[in-house]
Amino acid sequence: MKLKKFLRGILLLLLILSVSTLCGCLPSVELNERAIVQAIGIDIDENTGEFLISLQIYTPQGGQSSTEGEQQNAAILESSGATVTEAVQNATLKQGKSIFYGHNRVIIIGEAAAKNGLEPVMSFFNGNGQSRLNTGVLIAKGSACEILKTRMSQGVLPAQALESMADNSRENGKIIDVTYLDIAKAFENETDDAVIPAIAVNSDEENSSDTGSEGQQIPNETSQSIEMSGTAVFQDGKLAGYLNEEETRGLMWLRGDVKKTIMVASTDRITSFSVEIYKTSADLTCETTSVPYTYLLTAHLNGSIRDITLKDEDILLNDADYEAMEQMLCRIVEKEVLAAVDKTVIRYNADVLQLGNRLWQKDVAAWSRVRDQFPQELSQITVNCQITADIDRIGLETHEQGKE
Amino acid sequence: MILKKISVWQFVLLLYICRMFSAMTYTPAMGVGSGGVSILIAWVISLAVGILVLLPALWLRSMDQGKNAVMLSMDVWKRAGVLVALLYCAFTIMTAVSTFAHFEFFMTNAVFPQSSTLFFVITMWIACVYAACMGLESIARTGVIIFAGFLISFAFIAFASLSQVDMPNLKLPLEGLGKEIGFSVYEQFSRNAEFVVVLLLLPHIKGNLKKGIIALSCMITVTAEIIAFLILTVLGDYSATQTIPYYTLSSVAEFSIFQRLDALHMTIWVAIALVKIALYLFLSMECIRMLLPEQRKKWGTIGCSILLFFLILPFCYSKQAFDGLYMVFSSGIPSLLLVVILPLGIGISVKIKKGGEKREAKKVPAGHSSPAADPER
Repeated sequence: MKLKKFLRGILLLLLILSVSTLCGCLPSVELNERAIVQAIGIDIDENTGEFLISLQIYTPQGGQSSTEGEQQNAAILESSGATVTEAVQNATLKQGKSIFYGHNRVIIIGEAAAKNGLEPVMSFFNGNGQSRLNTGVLIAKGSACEILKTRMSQGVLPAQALESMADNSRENGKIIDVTYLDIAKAFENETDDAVIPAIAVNSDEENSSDTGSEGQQIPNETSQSIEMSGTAVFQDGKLAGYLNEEETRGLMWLRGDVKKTIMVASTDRITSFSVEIYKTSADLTCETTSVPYTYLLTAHLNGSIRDITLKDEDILLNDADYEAMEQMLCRIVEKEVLAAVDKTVIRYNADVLQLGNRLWQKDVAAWSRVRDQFPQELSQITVNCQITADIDRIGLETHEQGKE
Repeated sequence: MILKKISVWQFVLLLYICRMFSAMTYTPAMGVGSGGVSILIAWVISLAVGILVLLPALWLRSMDQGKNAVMLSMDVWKRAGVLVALLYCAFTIMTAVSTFAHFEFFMTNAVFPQSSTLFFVITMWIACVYAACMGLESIARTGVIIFAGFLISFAFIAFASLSQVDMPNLKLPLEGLGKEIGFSVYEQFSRNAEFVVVLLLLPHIKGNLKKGIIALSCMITVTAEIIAFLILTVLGDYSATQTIPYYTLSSVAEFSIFQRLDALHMTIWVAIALVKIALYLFLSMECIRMLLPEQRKKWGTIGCSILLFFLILPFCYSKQAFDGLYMVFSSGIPSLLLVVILPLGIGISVKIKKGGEKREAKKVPAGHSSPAADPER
């Protein structure tokens, strides 16, 4: 009993003492001593082979009534090193603050670094406990640093604007949703290859001015803007080439990634019509497990008519017109799908559709027979399409005969 | 000696969360040639194996509800029973050490890489010793609260991960499906130290233990199946590169305004580690206390606590020692010995002894029976 009391006393004393000494697992870092990274750009110096790191750091610009367009709220920190880790460490030395990656929104990899191979980049992020696996990844057509330095006119933070731009493009079926985890998974898989959305600086004349908050045109400091620019395809961890917008959407149909998109087409009696695809389902299955490998894409789209221009104003739409429109949509999807397969699988020899995994899933014995030569035999793949479309929403405007 | 008792449901929830500690540290053997489906099948088979393995425990309980495996062995084997007590003590304290090493590894590798190992060792050790000294009832009550927290955290993570399920990642192994399943079942059996807890807590449980064991096995199987399915389908082959894939899964899971759920998982995991270490430390104390006279029992408590502290240090600081300990548990020999062989041996000895006593009683003529033995009188 006495021992118990004694032990309790000791414990109580230790607990009280711990309040003053053990108030955290780590030494405290004040917010003003922390450099909060919003975006990371990774480039490679093609002459020296050194990694060039650009860190976009959150630096709030106080005292302004509006932060949009006028203040970037971010500073760019650049450094170099033989490895990504060394380059980041050098950046820390320059900055003098503790660098925090927990709020990083986007990783941008420069074209040269992507061509050199993703392995050094992956190795850095795999070993960094602060990095989030669901951080978005983009490939810069050119230098990643250039993208980060381009003045963004929307959002409080440039990285946030980049992220929003990617989110909007994704939601509209323009780019694939790729996070760091997707790349890591493809990297670790026996046959899978990665695809990453591409981004580019647009130096178009049209962008030489910008619309101000009250609608008036205000001169822009630079004539540059940023735009999503298709998809980068990797083969064996190295950049193999790019897909254009149509091929990207074809790839998205194949992967079942299209959530919403606008499709424009025409028929014999309709000059043009826009359909918003609001619901999709797609499934890619392996049909033949020996050369030539055959895969079947089964997809169904549900669409809603957004606008329609008839060849003759007097035309009244009937069931045959809707059927023709649906068939047209199916043909477009098939064309995009085949273009994507042709470019990624046949031309770049990249398995970006988990074809190996699907074959393994279908027939284990067949996969153990063909797995060694599968990457070389990728070019002998045929994808068949079974696509159905249903325009089941016509909007508020009608071109049908009146019904009582 | 008055034994503190817990209800069978407290017991079930306590063992459930202890088992979840191991399930959450499970790394599926993925990669070249391996498939995840074998793991999912193995968990279902493990359900039957788990119930089968606990039959000796139920047999011992049917013989004497007031005694555990160690007490029964001391009754029938006398001095050899001391060795049995020491074996169970060694197993429980080493399980506590293994859990502690896992906890420390997680904290210093995944959560706070720049922190001092000693900080976690000292603070956790104090908390665990305190909890173990408070006794089984307190540990069980804490276990019930943590179970509720675990369920919420698990539901959040599972729900948030569902959108990222990628079915092509689920594959059969290239060759030897039976072999892989067999290996996984054996591995799950050898990692399940909770079988020993059942044998040691037999006299502390009030209620229908059979129902409890079936419920416990089903709960563990369902949860483990969901965890394995999510790890395999969401993380794919990347899970094979992760030391704690469930933690990785929780960091990927996004739910509503929460950007990542790893902090929630970490909190629950630390609490589960505390309960598990405290429970095993309590059991090791119990084993030692059975060997000591009443006035010296406190030394069993102090001795086990100090022993735990000094055993933790090499396993936290040396990766080789940590891997070695893991190999010993993974071999399955400790589990086989303490869960199957010894309880069966003890049960048979008790049966033989009771048979002998009955025969002795029959030899005594009816007229010579003692007054106390005759209920009519």
